Amino acid sequence: MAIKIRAKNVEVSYGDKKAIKDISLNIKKNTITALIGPSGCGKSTFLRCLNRMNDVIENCSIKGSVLLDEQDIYGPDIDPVELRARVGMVFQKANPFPKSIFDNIAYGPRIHGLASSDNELKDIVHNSLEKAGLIDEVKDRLNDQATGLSGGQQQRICIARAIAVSPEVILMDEPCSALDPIATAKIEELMNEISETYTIIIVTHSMQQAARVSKKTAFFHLGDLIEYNDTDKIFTQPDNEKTQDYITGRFG
Amino acid sequence: MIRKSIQSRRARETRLKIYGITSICFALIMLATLLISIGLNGYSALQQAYFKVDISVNMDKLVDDSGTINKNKMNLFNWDGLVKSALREFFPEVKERNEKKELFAIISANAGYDLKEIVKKKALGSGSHTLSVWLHLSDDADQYLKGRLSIDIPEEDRRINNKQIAWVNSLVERDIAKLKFNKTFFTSADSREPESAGILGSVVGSALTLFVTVMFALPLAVMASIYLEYFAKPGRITDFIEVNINNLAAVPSIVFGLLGLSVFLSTFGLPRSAPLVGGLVLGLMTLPTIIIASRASIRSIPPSIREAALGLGASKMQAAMHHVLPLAAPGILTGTIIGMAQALGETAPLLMIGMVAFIIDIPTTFTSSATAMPVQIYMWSDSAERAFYERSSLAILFLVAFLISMNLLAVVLRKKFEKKW
Ligand SMILES: Nc1ncnc2c1ncn2[C@@H]1O[C@H](COP(=O)(O)OP(=O)(O)O)[C@@H](O)[C@H]1O
Ligand SMILES: [Mg+2]
Repeated sequence: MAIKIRAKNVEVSYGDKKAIKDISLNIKKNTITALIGPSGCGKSTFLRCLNRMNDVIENCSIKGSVLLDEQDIYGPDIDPVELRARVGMVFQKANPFPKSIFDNIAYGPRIHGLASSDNELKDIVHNSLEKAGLIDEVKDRLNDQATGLSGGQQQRICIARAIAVSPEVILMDEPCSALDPIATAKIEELMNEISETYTIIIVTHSMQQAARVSKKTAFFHLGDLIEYNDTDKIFTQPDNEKTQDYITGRFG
Repeated sequence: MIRKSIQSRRARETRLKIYGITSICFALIMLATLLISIGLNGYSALQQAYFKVDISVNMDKLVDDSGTINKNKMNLFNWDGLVKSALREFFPEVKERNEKKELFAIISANAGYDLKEIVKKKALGSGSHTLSVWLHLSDDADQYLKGRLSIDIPEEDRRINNKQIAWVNSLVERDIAKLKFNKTFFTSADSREPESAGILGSVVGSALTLFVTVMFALPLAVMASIYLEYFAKPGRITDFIEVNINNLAAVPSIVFGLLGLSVFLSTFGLPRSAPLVGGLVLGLMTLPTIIIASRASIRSIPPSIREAALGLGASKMQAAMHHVLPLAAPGILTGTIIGMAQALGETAPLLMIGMVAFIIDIPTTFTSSATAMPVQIYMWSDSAERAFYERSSLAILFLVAFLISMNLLAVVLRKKFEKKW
């Protein structure tokens, strides 16, 4: 299957401190890839390299290259703003704008000029909510504040908001860490449904979740990529001893 | 052992609490004393002594051939004489020149002018008219009627002599003179005569000045804050700017006045005494206050909101304008109001740029000569007449009321928009 993202020798430091070292990793198109590892090992840092969200952080420097559809996203002709429309992101803590549900979803399409009329915008919002499996829950209160929804609903609003700009890749940084099991199950179900059309990369601290949703899994440890393989393989017969230790719960 | 230490700890706590309450009470008592003493000095300025005269005017002498009022004829007409002869009718026994002079001193020197303005406003038709009008008594008569002039001191040291007191009393007895609500104070600008002086001129001057201040300082401060928070690369230059903004907040206000004098007036050649220049100077002065408040407000917005916008492909500017700024607006507004309150009470820089001039017209544009409320208070309190003193006290009360309501507004806004994240 085609490679969507090719990370080559990526190295990120915050000031003098190296957060990830020499990571090379190929992400397949339209599959779910999980990044696992003990906390502080650099999963979020790596994820943020893929849509250049690290640019916003002071004193963060990046070496190596990341190719999206074989084009270097750190190249001179790439606008990070445009890139982020192609590579969307869902954060650990649900962060809907303190605005109406409609405005939350419509924000991306509005700034990118994706809708030429009000009706088209409404369609985009409707479709995004539908894809995020939220439409039945919120269709009667699109003008309500998004911040008034439950935690799980807020996170799905954030997913719908990311979907609304039709990205090719969606990055998710521990999207379920603050949610209860039922809300988590809903999001996992949603990920499965949309994985045919989007390349999804999810950071998770839950190995069960990685095992349930992903096709490929990468195991990070202390800034190194230890092992990257099919999820089944990683969870049944890992090549590396450290991976073995981690998935059997001996550390982490 | 433990019991004992707990006891002494409690005693210490109680003592501390008492100290705290005492100092708060002390501060409140001082404030109350201040306001009450100003109030006692100023409340009497709400009234003004007026006298009533019946006057007949023949409009035919004052109009053009077409029938409209002729300004020139109005100005040349001897209104003063009209008022004075009306006054003399009450006291036919006054004949001698010196005595007449003394009599005319109990009415306002502006009485003739005021009469002219009244006639102008009435827009009378042609022919002869008899009007009954209330005109100002002089400030000395006014102060005497309010009991503000002590009559125990020797006559020659007084501003009003026994004869004049008798005349005023006789007017009051005949119901021709009395204290009425002092409308002039709220509708006029400054004047040499206390009875004709009002605060409207300086209130309008202050309003025009503050308008310029907001228009100048707010956008600048917001842009500077956004730049410093989101765009500036940390480093020596940014540190330098930051330190200097804080320094600027501590610069004495008179220095800003000097700056205005040398830059706006001398270099750019802007008009003296103008609200435009005053507003710019006060804007520079409040800029650091607003920048500091804006930055604090922007920083209090959770970064996750901005990240969300950036993650969707918003540019830094869009993230700031669409999401951070609206959320930070109440805090910025609060800072602005506090800055404005500061600017409203400021005198020193305005003195430097000539807004201390004696101006009898209510300013109408940003470049007309104007003065501001605190400067007006300063000028009045510097005058010899007792009547100016009570006016300046009343003006202080107004200024303080303005300041308190501005600060209250800031508190209310902050409370109202306080968000829990
Ligand atoms: N903004 C930052 N500034 C400085 N150090 C950071 C920053 N973000 C992360 N780090 C450091 O980089 C390392 C990797 O962090 P992160 O990528 O967040 O790990 P993970 O997501 O796997 O828990 C950690 O040691 C963390 O302390
Ligand atoms: Mg993380």
